[in-house]
Amino acid sequence: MAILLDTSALVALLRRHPPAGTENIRDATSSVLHNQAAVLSAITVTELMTGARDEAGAARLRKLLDHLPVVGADREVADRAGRLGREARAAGKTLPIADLLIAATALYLDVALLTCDSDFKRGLSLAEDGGAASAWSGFRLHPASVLN
Amino acid sequence: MRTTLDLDRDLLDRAKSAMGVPTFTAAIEAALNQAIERAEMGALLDSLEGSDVVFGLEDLRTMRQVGRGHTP
Repeated sequence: MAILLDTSALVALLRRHPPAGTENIRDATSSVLHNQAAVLSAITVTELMTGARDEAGAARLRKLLDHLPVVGADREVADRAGRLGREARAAGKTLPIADLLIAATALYLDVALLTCDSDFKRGLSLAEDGGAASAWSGFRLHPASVLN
Repeated sequence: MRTTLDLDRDLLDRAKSAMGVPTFTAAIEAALNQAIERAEMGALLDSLEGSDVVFGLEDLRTMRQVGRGHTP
């Protein structure tokens, strides 16, 4: 089964000294990648390339990205992200645009998101509170996700 | 390329069925491609894990906060 890897999960894996408490997510991210079950949002590609330490690092990241399926933020995903954001705003919660697009991609693909970005807690609570009518309905996280 | 291989017939049948391909050749090619992909991914991950090739989680959070929408 495919898993959408959030940028945070990949960053945790790629750092030499990741924050304490991210061991499980590093193991899960590595496992998902080794098992060829990973899917990425185009937003994650942008974030990773933005965060590349230098051009040599960017080239190494591109080699990894060449092996991974990437889902673009097309009209459907973008519209869905807008609905997620609108519902969040109505509930008095704000989420980064990148998070909205990544959550919308997970919903579009109907896959779980592996993340260690605590902002996704807001989306999860909207999914739990809003019921089937919520735009967030069906949004789910991989069990190894860390939301501190 | 044409060659002769001594292969387990049952294994080939199972591979063909599991991969949903019509021929033994297609099954072998698909298996080889998957094995190569898996090996290349493994080597890439070995070289990248813990390499500090990207910024940290705090930098990512900071970047995302810039894109946070406004509360009405």
